Amino acid sequence: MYDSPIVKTEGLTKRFGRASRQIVAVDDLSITVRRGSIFGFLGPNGAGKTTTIGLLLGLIRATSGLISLFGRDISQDLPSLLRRTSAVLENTSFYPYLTGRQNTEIFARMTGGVPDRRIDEVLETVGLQRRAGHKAGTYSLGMRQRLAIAVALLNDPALVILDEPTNGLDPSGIIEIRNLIGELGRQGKTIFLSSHLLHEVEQVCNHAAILNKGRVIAQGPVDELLHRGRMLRMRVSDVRAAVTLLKDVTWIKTIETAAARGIVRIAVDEERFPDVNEMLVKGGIRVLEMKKSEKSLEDFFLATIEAEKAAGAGNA
Amino acid sequence: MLRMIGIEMFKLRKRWMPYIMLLLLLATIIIPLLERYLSGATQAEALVLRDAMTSTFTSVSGLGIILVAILAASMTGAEYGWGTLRQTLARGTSRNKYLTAKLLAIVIVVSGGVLAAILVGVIANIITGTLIEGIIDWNGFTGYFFASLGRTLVMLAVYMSMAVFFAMLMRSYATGMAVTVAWYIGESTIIDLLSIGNGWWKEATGYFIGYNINNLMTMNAADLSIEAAPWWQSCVILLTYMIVILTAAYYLFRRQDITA
Repeated sequence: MYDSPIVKTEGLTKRFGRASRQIVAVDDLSITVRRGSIFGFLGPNGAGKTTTIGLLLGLIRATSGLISLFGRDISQDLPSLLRRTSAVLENTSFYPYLTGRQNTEIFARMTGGVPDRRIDEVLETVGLQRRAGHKAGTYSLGMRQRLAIAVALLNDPALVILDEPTNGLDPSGIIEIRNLIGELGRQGKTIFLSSHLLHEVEQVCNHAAILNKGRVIAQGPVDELLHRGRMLRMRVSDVRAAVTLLKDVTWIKTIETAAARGIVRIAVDEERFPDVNEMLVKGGIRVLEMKKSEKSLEDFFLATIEAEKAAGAGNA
Repeated sequence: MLRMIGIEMFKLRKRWMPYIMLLLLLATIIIPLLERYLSGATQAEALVLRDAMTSTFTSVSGLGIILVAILAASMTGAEYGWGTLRQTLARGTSRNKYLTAKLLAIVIVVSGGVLAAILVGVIANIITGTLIEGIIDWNGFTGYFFASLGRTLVMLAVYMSMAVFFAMLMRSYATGMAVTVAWYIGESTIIDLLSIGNGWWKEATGYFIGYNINNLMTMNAADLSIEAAPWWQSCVILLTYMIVILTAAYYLFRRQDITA
């Protein structure tokens, strides 16, 4: 199901501004989103997520690099590729003097071939039917977001691009949208979800890429990314002695401590857990508790960003 | 394309702005005629409709330029401000098609508005003329009517193109409108300054937009004594400007990054 790439970028770069004061928004970005996957696109503010989406949709011209949608270069026939795509853009606005329904009708007419009952269906799906007769200018941010999702669903797209879709929604709205994304995924649609809500990506997505300063710093299946953050948490009788014993072991990647509570956490492959236990016991350290702890994607994300920062400072 | 033009017309039909503009234009045409009727003054044995229509054409082309600048800049620039342009293009609408539909919709609305205003002027003149003078002299009216209508549309087309271009360049309807109106007013001042003396720069003013607009307005006012250049020459110069500005607008729009 995940074989053919629906979205693919190779060496995608976007620089804004003139040569003397150029800003690199997207830097040599290469990502692949396969058919039927729910792809999370993570990154702190200003990482280049929205610019990347703008590039995918042809709203922004790339400085260099290639973009293909549905296996075809977007420079060949962007309009026809976009007709199989829908996007919910960040801070989407509508014609403020038109009602929600009229706005939906306009975009339905633009798309072409959308029957009237589909307009009612999508408004119903996002829970806006009751307010559809009110002017969009009176809508809250959350309602505008729902309207944007309704518009995105009009043409039954094969690829749905969502840029911070839960922005401005209340908790029940967030759950509804999350369920909707899951439902779209089950229908076989490919979802490209940009979000700063990491737990959302963790819950909804099966693949993810982490973006920082316009560059992808990690990407792969979400399970694999989480696996990279797998830790062994231990409560021991002597933290200092445990650290001395473990610090030179090559297969232990990192060691963290909370000495006051007697806690040592190490990043190590699961099959090495018994070896760690044996080493400590042989070293005369009592192991009072041993527990596998998985870092959340959020922990992994923050740790990766921190590592990037540290590497950047080191290079400077 | 027809579908896109229909969408543009629908969007405009739901706004207050074009109706207010039309009312304003009609008021500038009707109020002087109403004053004339209320004063009851008769100056001739018959109302020469051709002469009477000059004030209507002067109003339509004078105020019309400002109104067209506001309308065209608003129809183009507001889409940037509302964020609806991103939404439209992200749905696979071709940029060329979008801009062409937008321009054609503006042309349709402006032509319709101009025609409506002029017809109201004709009817109002006939009514007041009949009431005051009793007789309407139609001599030379038809030729003058169509020539003036054509000249007026050419004048408005140049400022329409300019307003669309500047609104797109600045990504804002207010700035686009302000720059166009400033050009309209500022160019007249520059022409006045360059017209002092007899250097080559005085000759150069003949190629300015404002100079040729003034020339056509003078012809619409039926004051042929001060015609500075043939009407066709002014029309060619203005249409050349329009083509250059629209080419620049298409080029700009194709290359423009549409950011949030």
